[in-house]
Amino acid sequence: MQLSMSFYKNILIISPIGELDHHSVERHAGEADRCFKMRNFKNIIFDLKEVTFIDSSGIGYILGRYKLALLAGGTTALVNVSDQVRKLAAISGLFKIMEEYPSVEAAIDSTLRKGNI
Amino acid sequence: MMENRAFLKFNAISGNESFARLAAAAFAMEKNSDMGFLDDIKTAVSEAVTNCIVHGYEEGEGEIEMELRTTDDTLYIAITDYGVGIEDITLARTPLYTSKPSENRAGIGFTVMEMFMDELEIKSVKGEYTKVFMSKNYR
Ligand SMILES: Nc1ncnc2c1ncn2[C@@H]1O[C@H](COP(=O)(O)OP(=O)(O)OP(=O)(O)O)[C@@H](O)[C@H]1O
Ligand SMILES: [Mg+2]
Repeated sequence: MQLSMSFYKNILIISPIGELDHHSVERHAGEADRCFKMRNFKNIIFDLKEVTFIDSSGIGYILGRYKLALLAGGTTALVNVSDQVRKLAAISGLFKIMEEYPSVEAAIDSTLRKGNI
Repeated sequence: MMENRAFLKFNAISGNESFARLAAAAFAMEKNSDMGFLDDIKTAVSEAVTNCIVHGYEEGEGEIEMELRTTDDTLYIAITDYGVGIEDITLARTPLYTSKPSENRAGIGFTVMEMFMDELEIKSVKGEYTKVFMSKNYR
């Protein structure tokens, strides 16, 4: 897996490319966190479009980043949720704590409207 | 009735997680090549193998065994580690339970195996082994 990152104002947009499992999470977990803290980001958007595989370790990774945003007073949003992600997200209760949007633009709009900027 | 078997033994390192789930999917593919079916198999195997590495051997050295068996209508998978074992299997199977909450674990691995497969059985002796049996009908 590779992590592609971009941003809009204080929203960090994380786009994992490839397999989001224990192996890739272990190797890349620190990258987004360092970036989030260094640049004082507040909100996170996960764009899951390029995720080819995900298991509970991937869900755990998203949960961990959610906590980071929460501590910063921000929110976490999900974009491009596949059927596979949806099944795991339902089991873990992920949708109870973060919202899903059809596009990155829609997620940015909503984050802005929540005033978390 | 046609039966087929495969037995794999590999090092308990995270780099083998994708190897294990792809091997299981490749084994099942002849009977059912539906993407949804194979994704379920891959996810369940990934959960079991990751548990061996993270919990069974606590990221230390060890070996994992994966036994695959298929009949005409059902795929059977058994995954074993000879690590720390599970003291309370009922607790371990409880949705959202994890013994490692600090490591960003969602505590859903066993629930995922249960939901993605038709059958899940866990056998373990503390300090000796943990063996997870799963099966899924090709339908
Ligand atoms: N092979 C194993 N050896 C020892 N203990 C295990 C093993 N597999 C699971 N466990 C125990 O069962 C608990 C629940 O496992 P489960 O896979 O459901 O959740 P998790 O691994 O903690 O989190 P997640 O799978 O969501 O990342 C684990 O926290 C661990 O204590
Ligand atoms: Mg697990």
